[in-house]
Amino acid sequence: MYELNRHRSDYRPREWLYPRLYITISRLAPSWCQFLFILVSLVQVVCMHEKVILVIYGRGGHKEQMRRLLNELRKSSPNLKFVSIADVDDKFGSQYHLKCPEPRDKFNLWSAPFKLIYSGAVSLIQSLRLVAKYRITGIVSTGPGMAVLPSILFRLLGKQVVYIESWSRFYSASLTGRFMYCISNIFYVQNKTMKNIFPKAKYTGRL
Amino acid sequence: MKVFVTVGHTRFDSLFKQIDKIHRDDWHFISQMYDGAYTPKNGEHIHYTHEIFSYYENADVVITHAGAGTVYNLLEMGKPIIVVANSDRIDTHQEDLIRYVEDSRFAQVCRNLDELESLLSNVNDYMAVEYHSEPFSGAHDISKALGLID
Repeated sequence: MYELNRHRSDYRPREWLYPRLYITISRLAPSWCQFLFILVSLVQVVCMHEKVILVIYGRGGHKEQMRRLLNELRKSSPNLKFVSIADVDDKFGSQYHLKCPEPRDKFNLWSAPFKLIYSGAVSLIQSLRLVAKYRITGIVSTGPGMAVLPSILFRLLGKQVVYIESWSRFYSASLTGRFMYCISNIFYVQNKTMKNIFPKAKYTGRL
Repeated sequence: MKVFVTVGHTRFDSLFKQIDKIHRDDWHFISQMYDGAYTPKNGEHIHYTHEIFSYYENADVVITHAGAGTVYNLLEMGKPIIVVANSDRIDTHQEDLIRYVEDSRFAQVCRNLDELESLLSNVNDYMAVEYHSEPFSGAHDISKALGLID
């Protein structure tokens, strides 16, 4: 009898159904949060059959890294379908491309934080639109900063977040990288020296 | 000598101003500008183009800003290049790449624009180390994690 009771109190219902993060939230948050989660899952199962991923990238080197990464991903999954958020028009064959504002001002120190917040907010709203429209299994991003807020949203929805730290980093971390190191499920660095800064990161070569 | 100057997707007016200070009859410049205010007068200038690789191919040497995309593409081609630190920018993240290129001796780097002309005349004598990088092999793991393949 005692054995049975102990067992019962240890038992956490339906954990296998939901990602760990959702379980954490459902303990803290009221039932509307659970309701929202179930609603989103239901809509996705009923309306959207095709799995897509969301890719987020910025101009210049971030875009070039994403171009190379998509080529690699197509080799391992030839039917790759994706939607995209970027601050450039190039969409590399995306199903649905949304353009967001540039997150950084490289030439003016004072307007930089405002631009970052604005760009983050726009990309967050855009990713909400995409979540409602597609069955997205996760985010892949090569930076920069506009990936942070959508990534937090995706973790809260129990989806995968993969971040690849910029290949121009050898000895110092980017601010986005520091955030994404905490947020992402899988975090890649492209230079071995970066393992000193991000010990838990994966290194599998350079794009 | 055919020299191609590229600043990728960034603003780097002081580089073009420096190019205009160089007067050598046997050097021909083509400059790719982006959204800068200063238009180079020395040689020709173009705006960013998707055919930029054919400009790389045709040049004997490429002067490039320290943007990783451009630098890696050029190093993979085995092109003689000069990597210039962009002093117009407030952030210093390009410094990592410049240090890497300099320490590995893949190319000449330029931190002070006044030295650009002497670096250019040294291009044929500079013994660059051939660039190799370990190709990225994480794509399969990413596809798996995202449920694209079983």
